[in-house]
Amino acid sequence: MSQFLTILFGVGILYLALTSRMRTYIQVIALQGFILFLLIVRDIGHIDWFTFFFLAFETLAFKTIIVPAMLWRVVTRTHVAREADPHIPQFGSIVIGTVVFLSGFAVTDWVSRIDPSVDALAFGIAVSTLIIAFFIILTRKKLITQVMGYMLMQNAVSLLMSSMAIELPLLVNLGVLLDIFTLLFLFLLFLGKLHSTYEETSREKLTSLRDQP
Amino acid sequence: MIIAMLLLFPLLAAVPLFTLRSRRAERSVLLIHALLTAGAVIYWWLTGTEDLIGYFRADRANLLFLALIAGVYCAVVPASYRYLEREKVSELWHRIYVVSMLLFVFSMTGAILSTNLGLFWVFIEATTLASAPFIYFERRQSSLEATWKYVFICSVGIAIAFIGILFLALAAKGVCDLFYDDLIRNAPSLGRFWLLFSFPFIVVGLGTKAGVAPMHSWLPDAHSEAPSPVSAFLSGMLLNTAFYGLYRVFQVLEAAGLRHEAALFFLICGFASLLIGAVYISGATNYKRLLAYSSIENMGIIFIGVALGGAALFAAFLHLTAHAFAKSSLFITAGNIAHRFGTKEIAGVSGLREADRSTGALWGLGFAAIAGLPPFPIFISEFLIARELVTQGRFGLLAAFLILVTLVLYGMARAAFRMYLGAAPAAAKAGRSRPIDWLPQALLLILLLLLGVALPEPLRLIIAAVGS
Repeated sequence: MSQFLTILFGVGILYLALTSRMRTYIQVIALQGFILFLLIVRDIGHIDWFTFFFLAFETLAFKTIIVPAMLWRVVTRTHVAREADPHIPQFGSIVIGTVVFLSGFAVTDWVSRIDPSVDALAFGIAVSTLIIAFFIILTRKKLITQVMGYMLMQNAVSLLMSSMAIELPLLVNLGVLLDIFTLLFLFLLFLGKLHSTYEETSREKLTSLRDQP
Repeated sequence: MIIAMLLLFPLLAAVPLFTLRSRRAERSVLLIHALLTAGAVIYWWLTGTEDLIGYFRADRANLLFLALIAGVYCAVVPASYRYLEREKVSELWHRIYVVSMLLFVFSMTGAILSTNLGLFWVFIEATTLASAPFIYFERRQSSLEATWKYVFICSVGIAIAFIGILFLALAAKGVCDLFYDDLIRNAPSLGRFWLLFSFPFIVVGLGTKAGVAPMHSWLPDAHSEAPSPVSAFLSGMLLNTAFYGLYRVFQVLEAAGLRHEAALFFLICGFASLLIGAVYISGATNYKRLLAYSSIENMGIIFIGVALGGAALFAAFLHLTAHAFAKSSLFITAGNIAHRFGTKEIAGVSGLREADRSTGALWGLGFAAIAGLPPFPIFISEFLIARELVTQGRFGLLAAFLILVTLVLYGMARAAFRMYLGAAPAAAKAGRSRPIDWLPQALLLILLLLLGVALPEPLRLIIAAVGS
């Protein structure tokens, strides 16, 4: 079951390499949050109740509901329905996304030989998700898509943590959650300001601060 | 007790400021916080170690960084008073400035006091969040652009650092937690593969925040758009705070017998930063951006010093100290110049010595301090690093180091003399500077002169303790 969920997590990010619709991005972010919640439920017998409730809140309330809702609000306010004219054309994105996704399985094989304590499949999918999230950040022009790329990166980091069965102290977990929530709030706040300053919130508009060597 | 007070004060003091709505109260809180920070450093210097619930500790290893925060903060507070007064900021933005400053110093202090790498990460991310309102403070289109780049690039960088920390945790799994002391003590037992694998991620992540090339692109924008007293803090202390965490991880690799590999990453970043500094300083047209590129160059020198080890390690921390004070002084003075001449463009400023003698003298002395002219301590640190390169027989790197440092000196001198000499426009001569305009920078420069002429033994021990 957990292998099916992990593959579903990866398929979601692969689908993002093929699409340009904002609604799909948000749906995939929410789906990944929910899969992370189910993976926490799977480990219910191995973690203490306090940590379980914290992680359940983080994945179900924050990653599945709050983050997608906040992103959706900005998308509807700024009327950005899709990522138009990315740096790499759609066909190129499909090819690169597929290659990266398949490379994740190669990583799986490599990790299973190096460190048997790591959940190799989840590790491989997390690594390919991270690479595709970076790809989205680097190749998409809309600033909101870049924020979504960042949130996908955070989901990949959660899967990576789960694959390594690493538990950070609760104080650190709380700090991380608070930081990421505040960061998302700041992203969306400044995105709103950028939208009211420039007609279009695209990376190409942010070019006034440049130096010549 | 002192740690708890230092960490809780800014959080508790920030809340009533929203109900009091008094500028005087806001400024008083800022001053009290700066004095508390300085008092805490003196207390720890006299008494030694203090621990709070195992997660925070002040000791000889972080005292230098805490002292630098206190020193720069004490200079930044009066400069902030003048900035807020001159700019005639609204009540709301006055409050935002003060609260952001409290939270910014809180997050930097928390990062330095943290004994756990995970907790350090939380505070480093918090420094980005707390300082973002400053970059946007002047609310120009360019400020908005700089803020977005700062928040986004630094957050992606810090996320990469977190991935590195996870790999480090995997290396330590079953051996110890992410506490620095445990990691260093148990370093030989850590998984070598994952330890080495974690390092590039941590270097790229925290290196982004430390402003080293090639992850430096946010730095010139943020430093030039922020209010000058904040630029002093960003350059003088934020970069050092990120470097502190990086150096702690470097120590873990060193203890694990991976010094050579770790040093290689530091050398690459160091020389890349020196190169970026040399190339962009020569072409800079804006003096705040010129100072920002100089920060990249100086962080590069610090990285090179740490990578070389030996006498260069001491030189790196001496350089870090001198850079923090010299650059803070220069940025605060740059704020005075911008106010007097109404521009940040180098071409728009001439005759500083004639327009305002105190600001002109501070600019000239600040340039001498940052350019490494004797007797300022940067001369000593750069000389020690060059000597270590000779001792290690790395003559190719020595040649590159000397050429790049000379190019930086030329670029800085060209801009500094152009601004200092010549005839001042009539409008720039109006009004005299008040002591609050020059005293904080003058004190920082006097301190630097004293350090360069005769480094006091207690301070030498504090600097040496960081590397031990």
